[in-house]
Amino acid sequence: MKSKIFIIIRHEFLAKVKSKGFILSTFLAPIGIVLVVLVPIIVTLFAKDTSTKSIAIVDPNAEVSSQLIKTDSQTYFSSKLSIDSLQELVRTSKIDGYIVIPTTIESLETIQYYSHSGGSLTQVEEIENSLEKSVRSIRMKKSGIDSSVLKGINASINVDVKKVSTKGIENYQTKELAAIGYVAGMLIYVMILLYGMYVLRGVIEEKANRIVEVMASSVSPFQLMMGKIIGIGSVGLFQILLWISLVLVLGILVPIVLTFIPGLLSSPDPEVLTAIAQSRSNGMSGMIGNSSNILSPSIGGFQIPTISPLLVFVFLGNFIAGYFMYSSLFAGVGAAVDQESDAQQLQGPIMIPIIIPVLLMMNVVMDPNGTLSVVLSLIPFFSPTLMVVRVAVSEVPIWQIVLSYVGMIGTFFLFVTAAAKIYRIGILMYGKKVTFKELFKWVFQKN
Amino acid sequence: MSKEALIIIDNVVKKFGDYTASKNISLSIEKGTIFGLLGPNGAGKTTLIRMITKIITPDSGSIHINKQLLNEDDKNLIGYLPEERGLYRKQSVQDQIRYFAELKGMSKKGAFKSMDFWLERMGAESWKQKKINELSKGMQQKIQFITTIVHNPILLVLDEPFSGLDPLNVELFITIILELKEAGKTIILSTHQMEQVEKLCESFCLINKGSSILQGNVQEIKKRYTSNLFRLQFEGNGEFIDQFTNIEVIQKQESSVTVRLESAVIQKEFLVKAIDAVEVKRFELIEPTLHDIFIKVVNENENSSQGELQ
Repeated sequence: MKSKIFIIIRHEFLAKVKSKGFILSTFLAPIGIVLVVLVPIIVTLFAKDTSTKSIAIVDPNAEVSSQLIKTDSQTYFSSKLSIDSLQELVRTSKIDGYIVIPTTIESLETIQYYSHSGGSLTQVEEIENSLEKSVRSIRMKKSGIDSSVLKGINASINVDVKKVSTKGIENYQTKELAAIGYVAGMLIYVMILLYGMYVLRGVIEEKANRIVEVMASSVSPFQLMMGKIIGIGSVGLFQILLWISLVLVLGILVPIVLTFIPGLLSSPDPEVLTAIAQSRSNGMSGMIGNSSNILSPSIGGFQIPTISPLLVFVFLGNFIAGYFMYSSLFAGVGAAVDQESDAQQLQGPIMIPIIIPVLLMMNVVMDPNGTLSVVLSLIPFFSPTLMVVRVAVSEVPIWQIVLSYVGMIGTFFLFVTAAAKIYRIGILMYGKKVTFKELFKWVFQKN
Repeated sequence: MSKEALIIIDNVVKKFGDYTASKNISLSIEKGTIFGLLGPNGAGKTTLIRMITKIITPDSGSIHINKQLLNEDDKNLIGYLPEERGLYRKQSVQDQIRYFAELKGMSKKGAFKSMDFWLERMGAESWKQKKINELSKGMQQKIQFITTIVHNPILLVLDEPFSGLDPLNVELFITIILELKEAGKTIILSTHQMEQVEKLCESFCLINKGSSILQGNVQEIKKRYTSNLFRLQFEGNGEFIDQFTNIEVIQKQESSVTVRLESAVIQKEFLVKAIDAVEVKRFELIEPTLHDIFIKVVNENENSSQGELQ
């Protein structure tokens, strides 16, 4: 005879996996994430490539104008026309605008840009940038600074972080790892909350539909509660595994597609590249350590970081541990109320410890091995999200990971014991608004 | 009694906080009989049923099934139809029945075989693939009933099985319940419909305020509460009744009269005189209905417990 708890698990799993909601969320969520990340990239890419402006420069000394034309000959051109005729050209949209450069530029602070439409913020910014550069180089030249010295002064310095580990010296991709840590933490948070709410709703549905009484005459309340929790949890795990497979497939396809977009590959703008990298790690490409050769092609010299199998392990482990911890509480709350609207008040105290780590996540990303981060990530309520972030961003001592699991498993047993007591009494009780005081009474009640 | 007891409830007490839902209830239910469980709303019937179905455990006292202390595994022997019906609304009839059957320890094969039998018996073969929320309320009731009996339980606990059914389906359910009894099943029937209990049950228990206030064989109890009331139906002049001085007239109408005749001698005398005076159509002993007994006993119980309080 099959174990009754297994029958419940199978029933919960199949009912959920066959539902339209599951199929939709499995395929729409990655698309949603990709869109959220890709749309800004596409917008910036296309916003930059809008048609070139033509701006006339009236410069009696021809110093600034020649510098400007050197930086962007497509936009700027020198003009000797009168102000009146320039105004006429702007009015009739022959040119986009004009700028008059004063004779002395030594103490120049503000300059007027005359245009038909006023010009967008980015456009004004571009003009500001070019003007600033041109004026600065002229001023420096006039002060007798050589152009090669000038180049040296203007050069920016990038910090290339290297990691010294047992494997020698490795490249350390701080920004990219931070993005991955943040995404992994958010994903854990969303999944725990989402699937915890499924448990809550499932329990309330069974109670509201009065199925629970028939169920209780067939199995023990504990079997019923655990069957539901495990069943729905395995749906969550299944969904994560589906996403990983989806990303594996995309990981093969995306680089192929990317090579056909030369604009992306030759783009020198590091911001765009970071954004692309983030979009790819959002798609969890970073989660699969073994396929790193597929998933981390170099785009324009930018390396998508490889993710250790440890992170994959901790991610899955923390989802399971966090889900079990919180879903047992959700089951208890579900059993204590008659309908979903009544659950609002009771679920508040469960939501708070789930949400707090999300607010702290940025701090942990910034300083993953600071005392605050270490302590927070070892508090069992916060471990599921914050430990994943730390493992993603930095090297976490194994004893800390083990300790976090000990804490989470211990908390889980504590929560399940309490939830089971509430559940057993709650599922058979109708028409009574239960207060926290009563819930505590149920938990500590004998028998 | 010649028959063997299936369920023996001994001195069972169940408290919820300060409220006592079962006060030292003891009763025994014979194998292969239909046992009525009666009582006003909130009397503690559901609590007793939940203890028999092992959903809750008594604080003290014991429940035995087949001479063994009731335990978790015995849930497979019991089929329970709660008063508040409930099915998964979005699931197909087939999945639902199979799920409940397997939870009662059936194999998949056995579940399907039994399911087909009962769907056919209920005239519901064509609903197999339908979702519950596509079915009418009466159809849902039938499916719920099948989930109760699909695993071939030896004890059926039916809480208000006829509520919400149309007369045709009430007849169908009664037929099936009687068939199950013939097949040796034991059935506990909890209902407010006294006629059903009178018609179907061998014995019953009346519960009020958590205590069993009356229990036993239906016929014996009816005899015990007989009040020697007789009804005479006749054609002709009813004035002859006025000549009796030793009988109490309860109700007098154009062509019938209800009287109390305390002894056999008086009964005989009354009938002989009636035959002389009018054309007698019918003369019968009015048995108290369970309904009357119910009201009488509950009221007495209320009064006495009020007396206790004072």
